[in-house]
Amino acid sequence: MVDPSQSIDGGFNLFTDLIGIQMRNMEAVRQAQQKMLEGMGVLAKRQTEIIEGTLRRSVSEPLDVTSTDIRAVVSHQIESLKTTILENQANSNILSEMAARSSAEVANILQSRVMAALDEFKAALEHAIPEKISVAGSVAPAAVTAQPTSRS
Amino acid sequence: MPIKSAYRSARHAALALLLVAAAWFGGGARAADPLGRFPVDPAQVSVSGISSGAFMANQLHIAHSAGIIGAGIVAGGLYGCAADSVAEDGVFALASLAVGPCMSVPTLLQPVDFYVRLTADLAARGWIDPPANLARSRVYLFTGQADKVVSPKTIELAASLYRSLGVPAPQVKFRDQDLSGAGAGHSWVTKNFGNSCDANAPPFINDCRYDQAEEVLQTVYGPLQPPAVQSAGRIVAFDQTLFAPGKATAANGLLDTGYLYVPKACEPGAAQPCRLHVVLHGCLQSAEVLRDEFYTKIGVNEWADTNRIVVLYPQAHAISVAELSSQNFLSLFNTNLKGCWNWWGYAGDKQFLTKQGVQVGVIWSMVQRVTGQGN
Repeated sequence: MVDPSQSIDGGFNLFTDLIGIQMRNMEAVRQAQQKMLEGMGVLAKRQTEIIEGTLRRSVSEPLDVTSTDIRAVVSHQIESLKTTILENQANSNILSEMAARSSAEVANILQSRVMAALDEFKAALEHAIPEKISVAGSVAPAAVTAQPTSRS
Repeated sequence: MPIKSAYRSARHAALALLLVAAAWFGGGARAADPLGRFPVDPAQVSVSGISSGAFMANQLHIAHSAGIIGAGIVAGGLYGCAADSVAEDGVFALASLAVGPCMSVPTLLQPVDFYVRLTADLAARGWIDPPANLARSRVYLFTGQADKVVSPKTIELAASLYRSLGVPAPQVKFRDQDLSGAGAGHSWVTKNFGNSCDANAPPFINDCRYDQAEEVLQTVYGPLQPPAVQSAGRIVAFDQTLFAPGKATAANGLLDTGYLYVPKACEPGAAQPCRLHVVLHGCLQSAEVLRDEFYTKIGVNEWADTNRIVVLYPQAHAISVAELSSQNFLSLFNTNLKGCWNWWGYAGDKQFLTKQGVQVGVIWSMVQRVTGQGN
């Protein structure tokens, strides 16, 4: 028979272990949220810098509307357009990388915590439930395993 | 069946022989000797590099400005070019800044003041030597007008940064015109070896009838003796694993074997001390790609022979995701598929710009070993 006081102790230990696991889960979620907010802050800052840079370059770019050489004007416009397209592509890549890195850091924090929580939960169960108790709660009949398995 | 069995045994034996031969001649798997000490004056250490090697040469020079007297920066280099910001644990850098503003969209580069402030910040944290040391440096910077890989504007800005950090203007030699190599593509330029001058293709060594090795070394060391017709020193393969943290070369973008060129006049026991020049290859130029081409054909060894210069050729390694020390959601950002030197913080190295950076630290340890300053 199982000692009822052991079961109560085991149950209490499991309960406190589960509370501990849940506290650490909450801490990981808080860290992940903080990382996400930091990432969003960095992203917003970069977007502001990109807009400022675009404005600065468009103001500093001399617009030669007085030129009489139409080919030079068109050529200049085409080069400006090409530069703008390349800048947009580079800026898009920068923002994408920042967002992806931020998401990856959040995912790393959460995944590490999930893996740790699973290990902790397994350890807590092993600690709370005595080894010789079967799923149904009765003591495992050890002698059964030693019985001859065949009549021969 | 006996015939089938004999055939299978013969096939296995042949396969085993092939594996042994591959291990013997493969180079990568063969253990090299430890790097030795040579009669080198520690006050005569300089560095040069091309492309990612130029960025790394620039990083090494600025991080260790107290110990390096000059640099040759070819088709690359702008300190902190891929850096976005500095945090308590290091520099936040982006690959997209490297391939975007630093290489192909120079209109997005920051003003020089940004890089000056970054350098001052890193120095204030004690992560790099005080930039005031740079005032005594002599620097050569080169960009080819046909370079389609790293924008000439980036190298111009690198020259401007050196001047802003206190290197007197006459000591900064920026070369992009009025020489036979001016029309070069992305390459280390030679007098008589490599691709056509305006090529932007492997091995990124171009024949422009211009001796870049001469001008790099003369800029740093002053007037030199004419080069040897043929190098007569020896190439020493050495074990790079002894310098990597935990001997983890591959995970940190380093090959197991590096190379050293030792002129006869610089062998142990030489009467006069020699100088040490570190040369850093670019992406797709390490010995795992070009074998001995880079460290024997770029013209540096011939000048080293007649001018008492030991030449150190550290080697980088291409890192795939599988070779990283840990796998996580950031793994893809930490690879280095073309075997470049670390100038955008790959392999999770947030200190790549500083003395604590893995590759900067490894190369500096090699320098200290050769000069007898380290272990």
